[in-house]
Amino acid sequence: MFRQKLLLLAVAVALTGCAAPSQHNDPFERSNRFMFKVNVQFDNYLLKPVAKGYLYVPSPVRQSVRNFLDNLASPVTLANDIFQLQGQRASTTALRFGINSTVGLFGLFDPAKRLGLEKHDEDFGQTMAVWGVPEGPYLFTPVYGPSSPREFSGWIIDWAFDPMTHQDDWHLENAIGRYAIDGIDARASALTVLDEIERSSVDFYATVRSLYQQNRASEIANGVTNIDDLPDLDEFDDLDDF
Amino acid sequence: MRAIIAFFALWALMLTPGVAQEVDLAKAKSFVEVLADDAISILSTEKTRAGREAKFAALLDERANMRRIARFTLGQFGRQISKEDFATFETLLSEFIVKVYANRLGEYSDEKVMVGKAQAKKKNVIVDSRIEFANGRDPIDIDWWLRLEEDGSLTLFDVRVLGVWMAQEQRDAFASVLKNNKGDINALLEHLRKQISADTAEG
Repeated sequence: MFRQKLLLLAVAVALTGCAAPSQHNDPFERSNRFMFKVNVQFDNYLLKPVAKGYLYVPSPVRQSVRNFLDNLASPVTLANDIFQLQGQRASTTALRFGINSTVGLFGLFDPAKRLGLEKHDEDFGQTMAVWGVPEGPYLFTPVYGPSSPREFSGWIIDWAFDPMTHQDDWHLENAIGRYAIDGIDARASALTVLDEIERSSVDFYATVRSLYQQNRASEIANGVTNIDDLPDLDEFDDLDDF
Repeated sequence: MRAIIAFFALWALMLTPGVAQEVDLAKAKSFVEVLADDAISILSTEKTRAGREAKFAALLDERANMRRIARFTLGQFGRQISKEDFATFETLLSEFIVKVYANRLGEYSDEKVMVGKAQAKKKNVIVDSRIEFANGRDPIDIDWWLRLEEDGSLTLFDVRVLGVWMAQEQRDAFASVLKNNKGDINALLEHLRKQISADTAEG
C-alpha cells in the first residue's frame, strides 16, 4: 500500500512539474473550455434536475445526510491536519469524529458543533500545497469539474488512504454512491447561487475558473487573509490620470 | 540622563506609528459596521428590485471609489484605451455591479454582521467579519478591503466572500473576454450592456 502511495505521489509531482505558466495558469484553455461545455450539459440535463429533486427531501434528513458524509470524511481530514502539522485543528477533527460518531449516532447529527468544535476540511491537495508542491495547470475535468494535477492527484491519494476504502466489505458501487450523494447534496445547496453567477457572468468559464482558483488558495491558507499577498494597488491610485 | 531621555524619545517614536494605526483600524471597523448595517437595511426595507438597486447605487457611489475599481478590473489594459471608452466602462461597471450584487445579496436580508479584527499595511486595510444566520445556516466569513484616500477618508475597494475577492473575479472574467476578442474594448462594453439589459428585462 505504501509503495502505491509513493507511486501516486511521484506521478503527482511529475505532472505538476511539466506545467507551462500562463496568465491564469490555463495553458489548456481550449480543451478545458470544451470540457466545461460538456459539463454544463451534464449539469443541465442530469445533475441539476436531480439536485432540484433532492430538495424535496425534508431539510432535517438532508442535514443528517450532510453530517454523515462529513463525518465519514473526518479521518482523511485528520490525516491531512497531521501532515500539515496543525495540532489544534487535528485535535478538533479527532474530537468531532469521536463525539459525532457516538453521541451523534454514527455521524447523523453534529453535537460537536454545539460544543464549539467547528468543522473544517483538509485534503491531500492542500497538504501538497503546504509542502510546496506546485499546483500545475488549471484542468477542467469531466464530472469532477475544476481541478489541477496537484488537486486531482491529492483526491486520489485521499481516496487511497481513506479507511473506508480498506473495509472488508468495500464495494465500488458503495464508493460511487457516496461520491454521487455528496455531489448531489453539494449541487443542491449551490443551486440559486450558481444560477445567479451564470446569469451575471460576462464569461462563465473564466468566472468559474477565478472562483475555483481563489477559493482553493483560501482553503490552503485555512481562510486566513494575508495582507502581504494582496495585489499592489498603487499603480491604480493616480485616479485623475485618465 | 541624556541616554535615558534619548531612549524614551526613541521608544515614543517607535510607538507612534502603532498608535496611528490603532486609530485607523478602529475607524476602519466602524466604516465596515456602518456599511454592512446600511446594506442590510436596504435589503430588508426595499422590497422592489428597482428600489433596492437605486439605494445600492447611491451607497456604492458614496462609500466605494469606483474609479479605482474600474481601473483595477481592467488591469494593464486600462492604459491602452481612450478616456471616453474608460468613462463608458466605468459607468457600465457601476451599473453592472449594482445589478449583480443587489441580486446575489438578495437572500441575506435578515442577518447579522459581526465585525472582527482589522489589519493594515500602507494604504490597505482588511477588516474581517462574519455573517450569522438566524435560521441556523453555517455562518459566512466576509473580508472587506478598504483603501485610505489622500484626504484621510476610507473607501471600499473589494469584498471577499468564501475566499473569493469579487473585484478579482470580475478582473479575471474581463481579461478573458478581452483576450478572446483580440483586446477590443467594445466587445467587453457590449457584454456588459447585454448583461445589464438582460437583468433588467428579467427583473
